[in-house]
Amino acid sequence: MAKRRPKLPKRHKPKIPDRRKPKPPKRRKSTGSGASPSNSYNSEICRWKDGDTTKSDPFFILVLNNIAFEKPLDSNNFVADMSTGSTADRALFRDSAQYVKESLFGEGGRDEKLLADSIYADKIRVWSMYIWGLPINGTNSFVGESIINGSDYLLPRREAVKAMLAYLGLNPDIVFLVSNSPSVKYAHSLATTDDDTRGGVAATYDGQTMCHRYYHIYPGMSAIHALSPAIPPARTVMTAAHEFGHSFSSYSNGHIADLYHDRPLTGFQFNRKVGRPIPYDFAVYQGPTYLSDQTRAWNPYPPTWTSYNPEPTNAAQPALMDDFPKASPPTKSVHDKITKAYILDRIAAKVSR
Amino acid sequence: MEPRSRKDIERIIKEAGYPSAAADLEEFDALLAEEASVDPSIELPPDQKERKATRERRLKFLGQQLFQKAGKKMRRSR
Repeated sequence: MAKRRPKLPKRHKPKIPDRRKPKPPKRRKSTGSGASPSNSYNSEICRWKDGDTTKSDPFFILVLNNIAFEKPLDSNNFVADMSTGSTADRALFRDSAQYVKESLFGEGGRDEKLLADSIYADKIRVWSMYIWGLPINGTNSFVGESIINGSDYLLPRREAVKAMLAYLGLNPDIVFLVSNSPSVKYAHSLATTDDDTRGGVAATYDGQTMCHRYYHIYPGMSAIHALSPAIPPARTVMTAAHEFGHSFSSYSNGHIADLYHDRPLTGFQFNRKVGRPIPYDFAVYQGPTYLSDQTRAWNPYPPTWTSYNPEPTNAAQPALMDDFPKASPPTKSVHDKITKAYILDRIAAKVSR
Repeated sequence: MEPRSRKDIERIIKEAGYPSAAADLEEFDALLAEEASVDPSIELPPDQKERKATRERRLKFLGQQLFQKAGKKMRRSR
């Protein structure tokens, strides 16, 4: 009779290194009324940064999973997204939330330190919340595909997000909505609708008064894709920081626009102007004059363009609101000077409320 | 709005399969960015309302041209 081979011990996957583990997640089961009156839900919260704990409403960035995906928007066709509650799904979401935090604070060798450059960095709260156990319907759909099937852009569903935040009893300034859609992958954002009836810190832009408001009516929202093997990480390393530029900006007090499109101006765009010849000065903001980017050296303006950008910090690489994945490597992409000044001022206003 | 990768741009243009697809895709993405720069929660004055309606019609038209074929192929491949 052949001898049986002794059983080898089971191989275990190597443990995720400690740096990837935030404080132990807190799970709670809630029964609530509001957005989904008849449903209870489970949630797992990671407190990446608690921010200013002396305040009831510190400047607050929340990362939230998308439960149902509308494909495309306004189709009423909802499919399950990232809400199984499985260990793998929650781990993927935690990794995505960690990526958002690292991207916003310029960790991991990114040149753009963004929030970490603010003297108020320690006052910023960053949490992530994974919710499961809610039904797949419009109430629980925070992200959809923009315009038409195939467009490949994720877009936040503002009303549903606002209702869910009220249901959860949270009022973040910025929400990152993480989708794991198998067919739609590009991030897209909606800026903040400021509460212009309440206070803020006044500023001047080209002689006009604007205001970095303390509060919002709608928080800024960015829909991003979960970290996925299908999307090369080098390409998306700065995506969250780029999208934050949009969502943290304000429709009424300066919208931070993409710099890689040539379109007429709509509303108050803070970092993009239109006209030829390109003037030497871009804008006067809070006293100092910021110059224009005359050449867009990394990739010259196409001859048909009429848009122009502010002076970059690093002219050899695309600015963070420009076609940033083309930076070499993308971690070298940083904000232009005036956009960075705007973001730091707006943070200062938010933390001083 | 995250810029599309060159690979995806080439794929969409190839699958759309008509001569002005590259220009249409550029216009589609620029219109998407423009759409996101207008506050969805405020009542627009009549001229801007008209501009928004025109933009939305154009986006839908370009989207159908560009993605109908591409979308079907992509779904098959995934």
